[in-house]
Amino acid sequence: METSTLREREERASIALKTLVLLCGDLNEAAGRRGWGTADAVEAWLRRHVPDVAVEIAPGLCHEPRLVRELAVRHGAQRLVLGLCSSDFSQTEIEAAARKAGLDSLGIEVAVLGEHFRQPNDAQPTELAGIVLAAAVAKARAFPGSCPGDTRPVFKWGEKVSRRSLFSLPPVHYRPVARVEPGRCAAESGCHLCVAACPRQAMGLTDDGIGVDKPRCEGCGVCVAACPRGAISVAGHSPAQIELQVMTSLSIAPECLPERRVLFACRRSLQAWREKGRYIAPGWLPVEVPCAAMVPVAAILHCLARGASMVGLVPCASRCSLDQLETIKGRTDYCRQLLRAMGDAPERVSFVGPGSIRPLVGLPSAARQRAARDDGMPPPPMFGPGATVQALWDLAGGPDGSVALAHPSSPLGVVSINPAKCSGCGMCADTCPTEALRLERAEHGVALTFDAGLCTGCALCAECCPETSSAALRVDKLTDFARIRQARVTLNRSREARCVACGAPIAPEGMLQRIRDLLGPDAPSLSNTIGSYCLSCRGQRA
Amino acid sequence: MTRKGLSLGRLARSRQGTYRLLGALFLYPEAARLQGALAAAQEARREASRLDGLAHIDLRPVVKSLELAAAQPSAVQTEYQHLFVATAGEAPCPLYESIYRDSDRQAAAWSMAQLDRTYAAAGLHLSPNLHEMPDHAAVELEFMSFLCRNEAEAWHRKSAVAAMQALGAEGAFLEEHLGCWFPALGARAASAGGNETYGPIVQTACSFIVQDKDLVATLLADLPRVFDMAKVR
Repeated sequence: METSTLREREERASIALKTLVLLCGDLNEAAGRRGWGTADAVEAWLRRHVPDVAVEIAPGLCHEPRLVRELAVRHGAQRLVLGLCSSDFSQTEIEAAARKAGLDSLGIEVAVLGEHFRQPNDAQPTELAGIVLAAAVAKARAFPGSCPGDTRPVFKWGEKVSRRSLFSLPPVHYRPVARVEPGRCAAESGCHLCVAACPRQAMGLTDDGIGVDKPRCEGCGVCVAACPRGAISVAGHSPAQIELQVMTSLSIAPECLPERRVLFACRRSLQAWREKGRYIAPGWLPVEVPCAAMVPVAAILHCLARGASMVGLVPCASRCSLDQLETIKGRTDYCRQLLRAMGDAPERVSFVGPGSIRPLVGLPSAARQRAARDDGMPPPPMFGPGATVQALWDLAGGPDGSVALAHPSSPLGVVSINPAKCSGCGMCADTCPTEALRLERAEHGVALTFDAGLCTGCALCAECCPETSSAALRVDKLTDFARIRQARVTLNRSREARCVACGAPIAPEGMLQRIRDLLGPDAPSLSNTIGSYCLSCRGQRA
Repeated sequence: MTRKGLSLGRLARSRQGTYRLLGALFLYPEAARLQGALAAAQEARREASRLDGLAHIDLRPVVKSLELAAAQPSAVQTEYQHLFVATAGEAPCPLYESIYRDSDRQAAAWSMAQLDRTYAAAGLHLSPNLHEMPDHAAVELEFMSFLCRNEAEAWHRKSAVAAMQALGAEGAFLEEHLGCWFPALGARAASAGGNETYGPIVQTACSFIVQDKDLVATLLADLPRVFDMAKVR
């Protein structure tokens, strides 16, 4: 887990990488009469608040991607951020130009700024554009570079192909695919949550752990939110990048924009939105993600805890076939209910479903907004183990309160054991990907312990429990502050039978009794041997 | 719709050159061979830069390494020996597929026989002057270069069927051979350390092979549909 502060991480990134911000000079035109000198104003803002980046205004940048190559080479840029007028640009051509300049195209950030200047009311457009760009710079800098296995080429063939152009290729776009870090992945112990979550069935269990079927993977990042170990990332949208982008959006130049709202949206939905001539309302800072289902509850809560007055999630419009609407809706609903239970305004989290984009424009301020926090403390992780509990305590202002919320989309769970039925075999603990369940040595035997703060309610333990039919173990999707505060508690103790010959532990007595029951009365000798001798003594006797 | 873009024949030619260059780089680095490789790398890099933003043929690290290596061939030869050839004990990164694929000798022999059959089916035999096994990295890379040449010629003749056959053979060879074991070689080279010349060369080769495998798979999936649209036979 990262322990450095946001500022340290930014500084570390900026030392190594030269970042270039290119602003389209046509921004003035895009902004209309009101926006005279717009690009210059944004440039000046950026120079004031993000002094260690190179900024250049390039007229016609939106429609002349070759400028990207020329300017990137001239500045010796290693990371690139583009501030463009509208979404009417060719991402593929920009990426190709950047690759020709020797840049990794997955690390390019594009911010559409024109919309901030086209709003009917006076909404500090220069400041908004500046904040969006600064956040994009933070994200670009946090990009660690991609590996050959991180992408797959996609050719944009037209709907009709002429015979003349048949033997040539259309422009190539490199689509990121999910990458699993084997050292962190818990597939070896039986975790397959990413496999179950993948909407394209692109992930599967192999002999070497989790394998990604590249042609099927869309890089949507749904698996990133599903992984309880933070072992999966999508190049260009890694958790660290998103964390830095969000934190910068919320904390940079606090005097410029007192109220800030975070809008998680996928590129397609933003594009569809812009094509319809709609714009993002004042104060909403867009954070582009491959799919809104990539955003876990922890990230939403962290945004609220760190100063966002509201958080919005925009799933894809009709163009999406990933079918994640219910997942996103469920997480939003959970957050709203949690806020209500904590005495906060549920409106602070909004689900902006397909067809309901317009109402987002001009939503009223949330009742309770916290001051943006950049207190030098380590920035909270928004993904991976421990992120949810940290977000809850941050939001609640400390480990207090008595919230107990049962919800199918709860990111936390509570495991309960029926000691009369549990044989103490420990399979649940072996399978638990977060070590919320642990089988620990105790006096005269073993103890099954549980930490509600680590449990994600994934129910892998219930899936593997051999006593499922007798309901020895139950998992509830429950966020219970009291249980989280308790930290690790013992759920069940089992006395261990010891070898009558050497005294070594054999197995929990409950488990041996279960084996005896299964063997029945017809095999008394075998029952006796299994229950009396350890494995090595059993071998010697044979 | 008309498109102007990278010609498939040109792409195949460029890949052919890159595979040929990489194959030569995994042979013993005699001084003359290093000089030749440097010239070939510079030419291949120029050719790759004209590939319309296709990312995976980035030969800059190879050119840089070779520029340094050409000045001091003896140091490169020592590095080659240390890294790839058994000196005292096992070499850190042997250049033979069978070592990465199979642990037992019988399976290794079978895989080599299979490779020999693959080469023979393409009308090729190992030159006796080479003194190398069929599963040596240089031999496999050279064979890929040959397959790419076949593909390029087929595109040049505008024979989509022959080109697709060649592309299919490339895909199968990458899937069954190079694409399987080269990443393991790359991982071993990275952990071996101290390989100033061959570190970038092995990493470039790995990266190229992994991405080329994806490219060929994508083309094999896309092109039949595109040809179908244009009614090409």
